[in-house]
Amino acid sequence: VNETIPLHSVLNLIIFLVLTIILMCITGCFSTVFVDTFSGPGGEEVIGRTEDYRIAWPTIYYTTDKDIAVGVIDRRPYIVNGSNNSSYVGLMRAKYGNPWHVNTETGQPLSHDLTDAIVSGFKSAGINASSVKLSPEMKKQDGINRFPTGKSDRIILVRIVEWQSDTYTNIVFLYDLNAEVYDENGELLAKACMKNTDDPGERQVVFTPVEAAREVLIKVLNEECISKALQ
Amino acid sequence: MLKVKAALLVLVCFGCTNTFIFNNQPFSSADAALNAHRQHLKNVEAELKPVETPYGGSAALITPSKRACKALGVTRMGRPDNEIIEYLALYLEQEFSFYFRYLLKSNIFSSVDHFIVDFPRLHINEVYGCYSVIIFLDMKSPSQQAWYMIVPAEETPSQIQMDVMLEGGAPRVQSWIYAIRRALEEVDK
Repeated sequence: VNETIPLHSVLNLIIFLVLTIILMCITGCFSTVFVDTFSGPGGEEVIGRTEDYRIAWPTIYYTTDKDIAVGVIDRRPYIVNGSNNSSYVGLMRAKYGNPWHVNTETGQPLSHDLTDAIVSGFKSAGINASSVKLSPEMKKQDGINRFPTGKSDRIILVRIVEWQSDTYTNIVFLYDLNAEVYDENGELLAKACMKNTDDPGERQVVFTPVEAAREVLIKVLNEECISKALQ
Repeated sequence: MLKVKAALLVLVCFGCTNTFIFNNQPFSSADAALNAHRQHLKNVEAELKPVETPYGGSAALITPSKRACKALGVTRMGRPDNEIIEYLALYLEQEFSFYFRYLLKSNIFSSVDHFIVDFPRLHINEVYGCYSVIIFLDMKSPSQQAWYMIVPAEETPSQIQMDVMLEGGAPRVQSWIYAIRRALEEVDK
């Protein structure tokens, strides 16, 4: 069958193709800008990101037969004054540098997740440890008073003064942590501090915020004064 | 011509999925990779030889749970996503759990009980005195893992020296079995 295609049909097809390409360019450019606002430098999503600090079990290089109770108070200024909620753990930036909040994976306060991590670290070293969940607005003495009396030989009270990561092309992890050991009567036995609040990411190499957190907890909890106070 | 126009609109969907690697072989799902791993461990078990002189008695084998492996055994360099971390944690739990079967196959002990727990070192206190020997894996980090054994007569655990110079798989596991048997001979002395 010898069939010819009418000229107007061919023209219609060409117009359709041109319009389609123009439309794709417009929507393509628009969607690129739109997507880059919500995705990081590596193309990963930045909205709704979470970190699971419960698995940052610190390695404890000593042992003790003392029963230990652990509590963490979150005294970060932006948590205490209510600017951020207690599950806030930092920022993740999209391609244009615009920041999005990162929260704990559990949705619980950071102090609760860190309490779980520290207790697990002690238990993993064969040490009997229990947790006492403290709320962010608590002051130090209120926190100590919350530990049940006569149930533990030692109390470890950790205060978070700063704790947040900022992930863009690299990861900056800022922290300021105080760990204090008390005896069963509430008398202070030892205190150790670990701080990095001014490094823009040049001195520290951070693979992930959780690993950085683990390293910080390892350093502070293995300080000689802390291990001695727990004997 | 309408058919030609309709055919011009094609939607292509790109999907990004994880690949799970075991023995340099890619698998499309964690389950498939874990099944291949399981088969490999069964092959290792099949190659093991029982010891010539059984010790008798009872043993407790304590290995870390998936939760413990996830927290302590998985390297997070390169920011692997949760699916990969879950796979690696399950892989490790399975790897360590198979030592129960290896121990049964070794015929060193008359009976063996297996405990998969979050905190192996802490669990020693729960079973101490109930068994002739307690064998456990102490995992501190992805690069710090060692097998230990403790007998009621001694308070401190001693490390089970696996011959890491040997080829991985059955030869290395066999060296682990012989090391346990040798250590028990020392205890009896």
